[in-house]
Amino acid sequence: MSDTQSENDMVRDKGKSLLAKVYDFFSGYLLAVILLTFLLALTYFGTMAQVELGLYEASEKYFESFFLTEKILGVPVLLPGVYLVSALLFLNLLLGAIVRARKSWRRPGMLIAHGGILYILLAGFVAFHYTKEGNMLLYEPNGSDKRHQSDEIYNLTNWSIEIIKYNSDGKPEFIHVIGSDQLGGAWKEGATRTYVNGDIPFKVKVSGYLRNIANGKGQLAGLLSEKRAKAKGVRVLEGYGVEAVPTNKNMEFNLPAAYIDIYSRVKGAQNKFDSESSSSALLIGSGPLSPRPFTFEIGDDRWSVDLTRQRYTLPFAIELEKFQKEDHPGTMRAREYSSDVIKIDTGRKVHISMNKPMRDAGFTLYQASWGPEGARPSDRLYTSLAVSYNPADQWPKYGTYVIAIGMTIHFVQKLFSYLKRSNRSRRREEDSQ
Amino acid sequence: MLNRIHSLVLILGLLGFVSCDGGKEFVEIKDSREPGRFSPDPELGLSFKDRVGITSVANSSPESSKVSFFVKMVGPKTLIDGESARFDAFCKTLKVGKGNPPFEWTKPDEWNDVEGTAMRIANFNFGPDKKGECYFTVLPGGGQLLANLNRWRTQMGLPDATLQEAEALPSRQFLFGEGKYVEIEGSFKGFGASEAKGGYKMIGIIMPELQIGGPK
Repeated sequence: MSDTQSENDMVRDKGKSLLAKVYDFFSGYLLAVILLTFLLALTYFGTMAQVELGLYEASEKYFESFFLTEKILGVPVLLPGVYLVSALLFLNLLLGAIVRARKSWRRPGMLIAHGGILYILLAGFVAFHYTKEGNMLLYEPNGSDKRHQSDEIYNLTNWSIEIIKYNSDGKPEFIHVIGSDQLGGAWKEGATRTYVNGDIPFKVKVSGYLRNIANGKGQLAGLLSEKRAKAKGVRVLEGYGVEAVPTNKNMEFNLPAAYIDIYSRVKGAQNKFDSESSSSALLIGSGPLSPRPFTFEIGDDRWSVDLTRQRYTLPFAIELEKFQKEDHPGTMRAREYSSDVIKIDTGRKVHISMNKPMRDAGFTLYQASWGPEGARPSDRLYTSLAVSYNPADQWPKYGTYVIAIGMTIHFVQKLFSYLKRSNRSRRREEDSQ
Repeated sequence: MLNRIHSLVLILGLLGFVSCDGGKEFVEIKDSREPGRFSPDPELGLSFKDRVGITSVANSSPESSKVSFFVKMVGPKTLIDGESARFDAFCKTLKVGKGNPPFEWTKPDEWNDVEGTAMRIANFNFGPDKKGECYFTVLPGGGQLLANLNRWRTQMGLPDATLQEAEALPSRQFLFGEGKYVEIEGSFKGFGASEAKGGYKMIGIIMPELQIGGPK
């Protein structure tokens, strides 16, 4: 760039309003380069951190956060998280490559290609916020129970608090869920959160939430007897207290705990509750197969509160007809396993194996694993299906097609214009001779 | 250029401020779901111990609060004979320490780490074709000395030993007490294997049913 040009640019920039300058910045190459550099660095840090933190925590820290601190050469540095970088990159691309870019029928390729990139970034956003993932356990049918049928999945790493109202027969009537998005995040020492809902005649105060009190073998290493808890100044409820245990790298081995206090709503008041709690309990994360929630009564109604792996009810039910497993010769290590299932409501039969999932109503059911571990030949086996609902499941594929089409148009146009130019110059040369 | 950097810092700062929780008094519960049609009915009205499953431990016989410790090395006889000194050295380094699970040890340089399992706290293999293996196991309960000895003897294709034979095994200092040292030869058939491998040797220490406390 010549000196005269940069002087002209500076004069032009000086004349611009602040809003126009902000717009220029957000749609400019400088921001794009900064963001792509951050993306590269964060991908490196996030990948390396998986060795130390494990997949889940590294993903949460680097790829799902707005900001994070990273020690670079021993100095803690505040960095934007991939979530923020991706959001800014989306904005930058939208303004720079779509809104600000010259639109001409002579150059549609790059516009289409950038549209494809935007579509993929949008898919990441939708998948992050709206994906439901979990596992479904189905036991082999034995004719005596219904453990071979299910319409529920539970997430292995996300925890929730379920508040259940029961009917007079003791059956669950309705389930309110304090989801992992409301329960998760940082819990500083002494922090409390109070949860309410207009349909629930009480408020639930959660305190002392700990992400893990179990060691890698499922033993409650952080459960303290009353004497030990008092000596440590830990709150005691029902004869026990809890203290944090370092989280396991495999997040599914972590077992959270929390204290809850129930405060009844003052009659006729929307957001007024008794000052004294009517019930209190220590909750330990419970398994999905034999729920044992904390039970209490408010008025004539029976309620329960349970700290449980986040569960979702599917719009359809599945029955395991047959589970097949083939071991490596001479071992108990499975070489191949698959499940024959029936969609109960329609009778649709599907064979699910390693690379052949079942797709139905937007859900995808993959063959994930089986159990119990170390089962003997006479043991009743179960199949574990990984179930995923992602509204943007196929969007990255479509986005890639769009980018490919855009790039193809762009390069074909370039090729034609090059050929045209070559022809023209050849003719000129021929004419001049 | 400087202005642009200032703008970026300002915007990042604003976004950070916006993303912070403003410290609301109440959090509105927004999610709900229908109960599953096939879900097991919850057990209601249980005390904390029953909910968590502590009752069975606290009120049960002392058997259920006992833990057994084992360290075992198995492989072709010539290989095991050559590695027995390293086995002894490994056993001496094995101790209760910090961490999760709370054990520490020093691995012989010639051995390879193998990922642990629910029962195998320390797990190694060694030798050509990695035919030798050594592991340290902790089992809740775990059974008495004779039962464990005969379990190992069965794996080596040997007949059961008597109680007198089991009690006559030499003692060996191990972890925080004394265990019984086992050295047997035969045709090894591991759990789930279809064929036995001849010319194998197994050495190990069994420390059965050590009484441990309940919750801390």
